[in-house]
Amino acid sequence: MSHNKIERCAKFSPDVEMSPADPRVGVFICHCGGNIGNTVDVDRVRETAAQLRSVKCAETNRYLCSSSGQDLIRSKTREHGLERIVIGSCSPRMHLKTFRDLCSSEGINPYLIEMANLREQCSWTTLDKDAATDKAIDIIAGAVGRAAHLEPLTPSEMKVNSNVAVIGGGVAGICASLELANQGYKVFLVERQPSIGGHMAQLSKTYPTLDCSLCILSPKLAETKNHPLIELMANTEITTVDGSAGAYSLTLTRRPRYVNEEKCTGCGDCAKVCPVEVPDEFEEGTARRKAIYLPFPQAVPNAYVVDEKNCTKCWLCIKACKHGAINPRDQAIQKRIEVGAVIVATGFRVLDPSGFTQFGFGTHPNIITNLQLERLIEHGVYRPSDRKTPRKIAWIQCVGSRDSRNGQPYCSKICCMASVKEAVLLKELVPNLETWIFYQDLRAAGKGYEEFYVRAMEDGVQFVRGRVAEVVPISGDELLVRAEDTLLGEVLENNFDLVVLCPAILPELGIGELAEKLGLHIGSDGFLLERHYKLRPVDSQNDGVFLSGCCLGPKDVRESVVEALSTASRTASLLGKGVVTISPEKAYVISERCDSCGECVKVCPTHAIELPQGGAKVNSISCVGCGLCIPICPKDAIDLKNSTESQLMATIEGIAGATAAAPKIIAFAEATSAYTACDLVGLGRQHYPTNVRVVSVPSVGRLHARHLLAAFSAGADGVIMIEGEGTVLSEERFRAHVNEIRKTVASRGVESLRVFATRTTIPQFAKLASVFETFTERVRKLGPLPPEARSKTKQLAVVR
Amino acid sequence: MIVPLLNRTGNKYYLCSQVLDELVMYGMRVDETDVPENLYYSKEHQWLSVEGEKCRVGLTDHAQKQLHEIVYVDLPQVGAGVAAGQVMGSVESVKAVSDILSPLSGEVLEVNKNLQENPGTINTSPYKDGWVVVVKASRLNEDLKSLLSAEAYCSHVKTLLETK
Repeated sequence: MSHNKIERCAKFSPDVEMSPADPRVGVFICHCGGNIGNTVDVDRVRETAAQLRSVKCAETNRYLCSSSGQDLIRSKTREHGLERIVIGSCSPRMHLKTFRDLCSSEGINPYLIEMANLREQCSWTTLDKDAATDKAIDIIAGAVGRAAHLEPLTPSEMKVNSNVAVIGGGVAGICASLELANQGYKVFLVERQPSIGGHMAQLSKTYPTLDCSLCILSPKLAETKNHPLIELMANTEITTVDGSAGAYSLTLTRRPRYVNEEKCTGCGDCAKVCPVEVPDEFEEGTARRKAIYLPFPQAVPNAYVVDEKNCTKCWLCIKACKHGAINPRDQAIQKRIEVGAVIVATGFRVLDPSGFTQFGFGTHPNIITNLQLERLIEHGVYRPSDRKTPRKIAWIQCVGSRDSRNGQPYCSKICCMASVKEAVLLKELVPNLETWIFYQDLRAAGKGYEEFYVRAMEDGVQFVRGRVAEVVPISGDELLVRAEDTLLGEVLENNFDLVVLCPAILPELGIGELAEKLGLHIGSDGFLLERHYKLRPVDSQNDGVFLSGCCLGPKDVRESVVEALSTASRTASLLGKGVVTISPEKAYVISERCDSCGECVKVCPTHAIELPQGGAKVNSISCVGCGLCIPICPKDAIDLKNSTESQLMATIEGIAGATAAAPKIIAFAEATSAYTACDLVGLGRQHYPTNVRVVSVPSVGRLHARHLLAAFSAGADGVIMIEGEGTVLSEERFRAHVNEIRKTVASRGVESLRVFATRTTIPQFAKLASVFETFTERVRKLGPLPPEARSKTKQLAVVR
Repeated sequence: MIVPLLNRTGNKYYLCSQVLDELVMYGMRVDETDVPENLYYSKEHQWLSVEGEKCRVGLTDHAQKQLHEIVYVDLPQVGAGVAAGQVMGSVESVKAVSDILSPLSGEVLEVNKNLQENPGTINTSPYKDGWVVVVKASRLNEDLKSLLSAEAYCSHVKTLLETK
């Protein structure tokens, strides 16, 4: 590495008027045991760091996060009177809070420390010691450059609204509502269907205890209905969501019920005269209902409802109703509620197995789903073809689950135990019944589950390990099941008179729109994504929104209840304090430059900017700190705290300019998803070219062409921009923004192939390794940026 | 999907898709790759069809299968010059990113604008609707010499799969 470059970086000062007086910076570099030290020559990094401008001391330690490491930072801070601290260690996602707390205890503002990610984004991504050390020097130089421009910031506090909205009235939503209401919080329970109860209300009995499902659920339904602190809103959906943790404002739309809930006694006279008959959803189509109907006998609210889609508006029911409960002029009602937190418990739906034609669903009445079987068990067991008692039943597991070719790759988890339960129940109900379960692997992990499985085997349930190739109707009520017994290694053909399919569990319809409204992330399996898989399992990506039950993935009643109670606890710890802390990392207007053009107002995704007389104003509660308003401002009159123009420029100059790498590539990663994904590549020890250095930005939308030009001018040969999926920057705006940047950069003589942009979700992090490799290879082919182009980029990069 | 396969003793086996998955997992290749006869191929998995002065270029079936679901295609500008073996754009799937290398030198006459809206067309129709660019060749005869025939490309793919 060349000493000249360091000099140049050290002299850099992007914006003289904003440059603070030369602060005293201390650099501390962690070996992290051998995690960093085995790959990065920590001493060489320290020596180089010591020569950087403003650096008054540079130290190393085996474990900076340990108490001896923290003591070192304390004593050096006092000894040298340090004003800014740079920690070269793990990802800030890991220990930023640790070191900020340390700073606070030393009387230094916690926003005056900067972490350089030498582990997840450097030492864990390569085995090449020299290259890793050069990369570490670059990362430290970027951090030191930024540290000199850091400003003290103070988070503000906001009073929270202590109401809670629970979306989804299945067993998870009900338990969460009751738990919170019993703690004294006002709860709005919003259910899309006309009754609460969810899928649990449809089940016959629950495994492994064989409790009657409705017997344990309906007391909860009644308690929910009667609780003074729970406002039950059935037939209602979320329309819009505004605000942030502690102060959400939700607009709800209640679909017309056409029946007055107060007046209806549930006598059913209306249904008797209704001429329309349709398949009953609650009965999974095994029975029929009228267009005016009670969802199920124990429904809450216990009032009839008109099915808008199928009602012919003959209104015979009006005459039949002795209580005058039917209101043909009922209309959709919009309602606004103010809450501090939201719990999502939207549950699941079952895959329609008719796409899997080999199982013949829909071609013969005796091929049914396990949810249909649950309803048949309730009505006395019969085979649908002739309503006679079945003699031989087959269950087929994993219909569309564990099938990455045509279905879902994941295990739907509940089908094994549900089938075992159904087989045990039916063996009790029907004498001499033969029950066969075709499975891939029988999964019975859970308290009492294995014992239940053993009991089923003792009861004579037949278990066949093997995949079913096809189900063929043969004659009358009989069905031929052809399967491969993988234990015996032979083909098995057998006749049954009832075949029960166990289709995959999918997230409930509309989960995508809800996620968009609430700012939640969806994983590659289609379910909602938790903040941290192990340690924050019911927190969403959005503060103040918590997740429970099957919206996170397939699970049974017990697990759903466990999560519901967890979300109640998480909600209470957010709302119980009465105040929430608001990050100071918000946009602010430099009012003397603002000419009230209003461009920022148009671009702001959260409508946080207003335009009163005398220039734009940012509402710091609504502002999410994405920085989309910055590149759009023609007067450079808006900036972002803790990601200011001068801080970003100093980072770029440092990281792109300290050492030489051929080719050198700067990757700007959006701070939440994309940066986390970059960390995960390292965490998985996936190696990628050391040429790539990552710079965290609030959003790719915060970048202006001048930042890329600054990177090229300082030494970069290629730039990658990575935005998370589902961020405030929509796909359309992202591509348009990137194209705009490319055009400007191209007009300065840099080929547009040197600029690459991509999006990723956190679970798809492995894609980034492919991006880094492909792009490095591309830039290597293009060769280093020609010196004329580099000098040309300088002109624009400095202009502000 | 049921695919009949024969076991060692010659009995007919009916295997559902899940079994196929497992076979693939254990290293058996059941997938077939479509390689039309009348095209030229590059080792980097681009195909080229000569249409008079113009040449149409796209990604091979093998390439799209390796990439899986394609979500974005970065196309060159109409009028841009391209050189054989040089990057002219890129394709991005949910799992990976791959550069598109031009199999010939010349000037871009047309780009498949439909790919901006429907990048998955490359997956569904790699040789027809999923074409990427049309190039006016500047030195076609020389470029064709370094390209492969369908047969040679097949054995190239086979070698790649075997060494993987």
